[in-house]
Amino acid sequence: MNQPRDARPHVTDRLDEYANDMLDAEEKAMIERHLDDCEHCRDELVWLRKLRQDLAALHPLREDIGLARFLARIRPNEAPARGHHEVALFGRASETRSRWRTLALAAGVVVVIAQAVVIGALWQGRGTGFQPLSGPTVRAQLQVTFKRNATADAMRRALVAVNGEIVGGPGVLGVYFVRVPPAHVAQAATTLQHDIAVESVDVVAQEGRRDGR
Amino acid sequence: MQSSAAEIEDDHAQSLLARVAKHDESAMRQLYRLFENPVYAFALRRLNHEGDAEDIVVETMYEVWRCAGKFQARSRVKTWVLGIAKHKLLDRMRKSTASVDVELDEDLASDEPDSYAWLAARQQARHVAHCLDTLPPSQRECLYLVFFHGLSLAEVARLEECPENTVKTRVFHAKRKIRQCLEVLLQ
Repeated sequence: MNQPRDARPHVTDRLDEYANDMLDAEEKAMIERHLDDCEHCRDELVWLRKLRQDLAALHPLREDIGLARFLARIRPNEAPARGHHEVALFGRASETRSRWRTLALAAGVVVVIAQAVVIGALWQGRGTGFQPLSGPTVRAQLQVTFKRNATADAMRRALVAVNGEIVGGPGVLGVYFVRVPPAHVAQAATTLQHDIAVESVDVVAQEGRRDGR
Repeated sequence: MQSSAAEIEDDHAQSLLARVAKHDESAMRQLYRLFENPVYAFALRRLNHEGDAEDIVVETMYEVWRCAGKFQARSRVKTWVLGIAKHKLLDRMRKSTASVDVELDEDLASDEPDSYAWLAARQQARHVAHCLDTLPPSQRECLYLVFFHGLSLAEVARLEECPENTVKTRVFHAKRKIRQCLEVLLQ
């Protein structure tokens, strides 16, 4: 015998799974029959779905999170891609890397800063351009200007997304010189151009030409 | 009996995992896309550091690549992957003595197009984040695992290594508290 509607137990316990679409067709139909008659459970379901949306909104989806590094790791013939600690100049030193490598990285940073100061002084008053700091063995393919309010984390995230590495800068105009995998220069430029931390990206073409983007 | 969406998704993940066990890189890429964001969010919430969270994604997925053949279908693939991520996280947290920095990209957010809808969503997100912070960690974790990661109570219990009834109680209280908190903020 059917219970009177008001006396039917609510299905609150199952609504979590219903909202998560984890029930099979038969169970879903049972819940939906109950929902037809129960305003309390309908309200609860609306609230649960809103909660799911709110939680999802706290974590916007990203693509290819560390994918390049992962692929380099599983392909035995490729040199391992660098971790986020090495990609950005501002990250904490990785506990898995040796102290010597950390010191070497720090020394590199000092050299880059010194280069920026020296070359910045040399180029002062010679237009808005800025020549790559690197020689032939450390050629930068991109010149990247970050937004003034970009945080270190946001800059790091942008570089990690393209498997990029800062090889020089910032210059007097705040330009960083970035090296990316040679096969993906155009794609990296496009990705960086759409990153909210990035003001502008220039592709450094072969033979010193620059294609503004 | 027809399958639920979660079961269909898991079937797909299991078929990919079977190919990954034979070191099929194309399957691994698809599997990576399926789970990179859940693992990233899972790690980011605990580490509060985007770079470290990304490391966890790479380490977790590398473990998946290495151990795909050991998956025994005792759980959904997603639960298995999050379990690996949890162990990687615990390893990382044990080794790390560095302080946890909580840095929000507030300044960057101000560059987004201005609109009422965006502001309202932003405000709501802040409210939700604030109310989540008021929850005890165990309740917050369970709430996330159920409503963000879409795990069942049994799956959360396995991941958290506690009885299912404990998870049920935590989720119940978490929902009640967060609802009360949001109601107060919206008054």
